[in-house]
Formats: sequence, structure tokens, C-alpha cells
Amino acid sequence: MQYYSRSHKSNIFYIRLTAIISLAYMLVFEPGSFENKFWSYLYIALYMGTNLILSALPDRLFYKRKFYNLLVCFDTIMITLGIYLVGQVETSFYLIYFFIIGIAALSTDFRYLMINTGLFVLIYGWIMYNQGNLSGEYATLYALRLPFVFVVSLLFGYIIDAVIKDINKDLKDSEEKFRSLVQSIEGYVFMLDRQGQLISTNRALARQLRTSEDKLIGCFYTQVFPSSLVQSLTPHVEYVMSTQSWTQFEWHDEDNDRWYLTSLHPVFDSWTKELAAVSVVAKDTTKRVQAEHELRAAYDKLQQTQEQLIQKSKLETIGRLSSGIAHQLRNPLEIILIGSEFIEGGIDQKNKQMIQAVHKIKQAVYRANNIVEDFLRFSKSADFTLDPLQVCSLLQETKKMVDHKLQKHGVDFRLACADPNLAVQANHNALQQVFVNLFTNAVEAQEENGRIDVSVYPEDGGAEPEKREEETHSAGQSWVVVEVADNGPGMNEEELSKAFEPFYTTKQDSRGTGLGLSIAKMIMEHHQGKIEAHSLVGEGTTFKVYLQPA
Amino acid sequence: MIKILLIDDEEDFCFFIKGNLERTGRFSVYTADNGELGLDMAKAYNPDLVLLDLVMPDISGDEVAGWFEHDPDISHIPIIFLTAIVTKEETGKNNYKEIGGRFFIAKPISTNDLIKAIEEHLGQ
Repeated sequence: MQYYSRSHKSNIFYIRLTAIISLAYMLVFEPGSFENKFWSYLYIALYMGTNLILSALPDRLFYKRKFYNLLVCFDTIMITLGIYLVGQVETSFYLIYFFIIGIAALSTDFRYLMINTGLFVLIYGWIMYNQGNLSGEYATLYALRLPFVFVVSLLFGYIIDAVIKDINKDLKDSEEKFRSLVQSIEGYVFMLDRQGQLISTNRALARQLRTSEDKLIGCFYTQVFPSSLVQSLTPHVEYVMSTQSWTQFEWHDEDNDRWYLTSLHPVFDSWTKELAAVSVVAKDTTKRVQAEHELRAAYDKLQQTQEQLIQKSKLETIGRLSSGIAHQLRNPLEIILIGSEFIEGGIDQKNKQMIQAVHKIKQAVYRANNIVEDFLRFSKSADFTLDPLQVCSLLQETKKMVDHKLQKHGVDFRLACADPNLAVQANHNALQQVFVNLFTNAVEAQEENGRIDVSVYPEDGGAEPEKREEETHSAGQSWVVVEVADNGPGMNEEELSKAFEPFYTTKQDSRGTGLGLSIAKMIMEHHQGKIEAHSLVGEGTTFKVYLQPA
Repeated sequence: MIKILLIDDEEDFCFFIKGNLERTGRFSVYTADNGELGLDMAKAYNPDLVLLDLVMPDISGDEVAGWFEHDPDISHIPIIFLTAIVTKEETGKNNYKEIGGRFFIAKPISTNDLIKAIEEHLGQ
């Protein structure tokens, strides 16, 4: 840059000097000019002076277009003034001079201008020679016109050429700068016009689409981009076009499993200020996203482990408590039971009231014992381990355990397995306890023509309502669902909300302890699964058990 | 008359069991509230059956059973364990079950069930 400007400066200096000298010759030799040569000498001295000043000007001025514009104006005025001083204003020469300026201004190539000027000088010289102007009184003056024309053309031509070259060079420089900037971006950069045609792209994008940049230009992005990208890109392009504001989204290239942070910005026409295009920059953020996913997975795992530990210690505590309670409670219960039998033996068998009283005491003992039994049963399944097991065969096995109840109540039992080999991670005894509970509840809820429908099916994540919000980021959890539906009287909202509370029961007399469902819930929590109840009064109740697939 | 030795630390339990069983006229029941006394009484009375509480404060039923097994005088006497920490699934409907060569009765048990269990065990 420095080098070019320095050479411009000296070239302009010498060309101007030549132009001033040729003007000076004309001024000195011109016989028809003013009698008083003072103005002419003053003019020459001034013009020379400006050229000296020019040589002393700082280099950086020669970068500026404005400076060249000023220089062209100044030289035009000075040379016009010079021609006036020579006294040629009213001659054809004056017209030729403006003709030269015009040609120089219009010229885009300095070499052609010089060749044209050379030809013009030859033709002009030949015409003057033919008219006899090159001999006689004004011969010198006419002859001097020829180098003058050449030098003036050289001066204007050179200045204009320098300006054009600089402009082109600036444009080229800035284009190259931006080009390398765009090319150096890891990821895809492109620009779409309002119709959705590509107006520029970078190499990375062309390479990804297995084509060249040139071939992409003018194509509709909807036709050349993979459909997954088009699908996610289109709403954002439309957004930018309609709102004229920028937007950003994360695009997952599923084919290559890469993530791109994609930013779309509106590009405005510098004249009309209207939206002309949309620029898109898609930055590869796979590493960051992967790291994020790994972090999240590690966090989830940690949380899961923590929950497991809490759950485990909870179960262990309950287990220890249960066997302690069982021992401590059952001994006095036993004493009450056999004590009342002892009394029973001493009562007159005709004394029905006393017999009934003893019977009621014994019933109360059995009821209390059932509660102990539930706790104890749970505590025995508390240290369970989870193994893969086929849920359908477990259900069939469990059904046999409640067969006598089904027959007694005349309940129809149906089992529908989507896949008989569907396996879950579970503890056999614990899971059996859950289903015994559910089946027993279902049987006992029925009145007449009862039915229990059990269905087993796999379910993918997202469909389950409870966890949906907190799990939007992780991949959807998949489950094996066991649905146990009865057509009993159903539960109202209050009953439903209390269904899993310990010691809550709707069963009359001593049939229920109110622990079955709360224990089932605890067991399901230990299985990393869950149990939900859905019910409509008059239509029946459905329990859904969500299990981890094996 | 079937001779039964009941070893249990709960005195009231012993009292009622003795009363209930003896009232049937088919059993005579000796009671001991700890293992050592039980061992002596077994040697003294040579019972047909021992009902042994599994959980006792000083010496557990398990240990007492060991003494019985290793004493040739009394090793022939069958033992039924009484326990409060088994479930119905484990003992069956009659509260009576053999687990690993040992016989268990789950508390609470009614007198009738107890008699059934004793009869079954003695093969009567």
C-alpha cells in the first residue's frame, strides 16, 4: 500500500511537471498572447509552486479519493486558465482540450487511453500539417499543441486511472478480507435472497453438499439442502423475513449426529433500506452439545444413584422396624388370642353374648396381625435385587395365587400381553406382592359380573404426563406398562388422592389394612418405576404400573 | 396323654397355652421360661414334643435347639419353633411349616391350629 502511494505521488509530480513545462513553452512562445508576459510568468511560477507543495504533502493523502478529485478539479482550472493566458480560448484547440479531458474521464484503461491519445496526436499533427499550420508564423505554437495534448491526457488519464485502480483494489481487498473471514469459519455460511435462492455460500457448505460454490449459487435452498435442515430452517427464514429481526436455533444433523448453532440475520439493501437477503451462519457446536449431554447424563446418573441410596436406606429402616414391630406386637397379640380362648373355654356355651365378645376380641387380634403381616412381608422384600424377568409369566403366576378369590367372587380375569417375552427389571417376590395387592383390590371392589382386564404393553417416553416437564431435555424414558382395570364402583377424587396413603382403606370390616397400595408404591419406587391410579365413579378403576424394561 | 414342654420367656403365654391345651384332656404341658430350665425339664420329664420360642432374651431358641441335638438323652425329642417374624406365605394357611429341616409355627396361632400342628407333627 505504502509502495503504490509513493509511486503515485512521484508519478503525479513528474507528469504535472511535464504538463506545466509544456504549458510554459506555449506561454513563452505564443506570439498572440498578452503583451504583458507578467501574468504568464506568475501563472507558471504558481503552478510550479503547487507541484512542489504536492511533493511535500504526506503520503497518506494519496490513499484518498477526495484528494484525487480535488487534484483533478484544480488541474482542470489551472490548465483552462493556462490556455486562456495563451490566448487559444477562441480556437479549436480549446475544444480539443475538453475533448481530451472527457476521453480521459471516460477511459477505464490507462494503456488504451495512451494509445488513443497517441493516434489522436498523430492524426491531429497530420491535419495541421496538411492545412499548413506547421509552417509559417504560428508554426511553433501549433507544434507545441501536440505534446501538450499528450501530456494533459497523460496527466488526467493517470490520476483517474490511479483512482479507479485504488477503488477496485479497495473493493478487491475488502472482498478478499470478508471472503477469507467467511471461509475460515468452521461451519456453514450462506446468504439467501427473498425468494430463498442462494446468493453466496462458503466452501464448507459446498463440500458438505458435494458440489462447488458456483453451482450452488442461484439454487433454491429447499432443493439442495437435506430435508431435515430445510424443515428446521424454513420457519426461521420466514421469521426473519417477516419480522426483519435476527433469530437463532440449534440444529441437529441426525445423519451425521452433529449439532449446529444456527444464526439468521436480515441483510438490508443499502439504497432502499429494505430486506434484501437473509444471512445464515451455522456453527458446529457438536463438542459443546456432546459435553452438555454427557454432563447431564452424569448428573442424572448421580441423582438416580442418590435417590436409590435414599430409597435403599428408607427400605432398610422400614425392614428393621418391621421385624422388630412384628416380634414386639405379635407376642402380646398371641397372649390376647390364646387368653381369650382360655376365657372362652371357661364360659358357659349358652352365654352367647360372652361367646360373641370373645369372638370379637379374636377378630381384632387377626386384624392387628394382618397389619403386622403386611409390614413384615414388605420388610422381607426390602433387600431385594432387581433381575430381568418376563412380566407376563409373572402375572399368570400371580393370577393363580388369587384364583380362589376370583372364583369366590365370580370375577372374570383377562390377561392381554402385547409381547409374551416382554422383560422388566424387577424383583420377583416384590413385584408379585404389588400385583397380588392390585388383583385383590380389584376383586374385592367388584360387586356382580366383575371383570379384571390386565394388559401389558411397552410405552415410549413423552406420553407419560408426570415427568414430561422435567425430562424435556433428556431422551424420553421408555417403560413397560402393566394396566390393571376393574369395572367396580370406582373412586371419587378424594378417595383417589388418598389411595396410596398408608392406612387408608375403603374396605369394610377387617378385610383391609390400608397398607397394600402404599407398600406397592414403595416397591415401585425401589424399582425406579411408578404406579398411578385412574378412576371414574361408576366405571371402575385402572392402575398403571410403570416398569423399567430389562 | 401327650407330654409337651413349652420353652418361652413370656410367662403369660405359657400360662394360657398350658391352660388351653390341658383343658382338652389330651395334653400335659410343662413350661420353662428359659433355655437352661427347659433343658433340665426335658431330661426330667422326657416330653413327646418341645415347643421352643425362637427369640428369647438371654439364650436364643436356636442355641437351645443346639443343646438338644447334641445331648443324646434328649436328641430324639422333636422340636417345633415358635416365631413371630414369619409371614403367612412362609408358613401356609395353618401357620405351620417346615423350613430347612426345622418346623415353625407362626405367632399368633389359635389353640385349634396349634393342636392341629402338634398332631400333624407327631403323626397322629
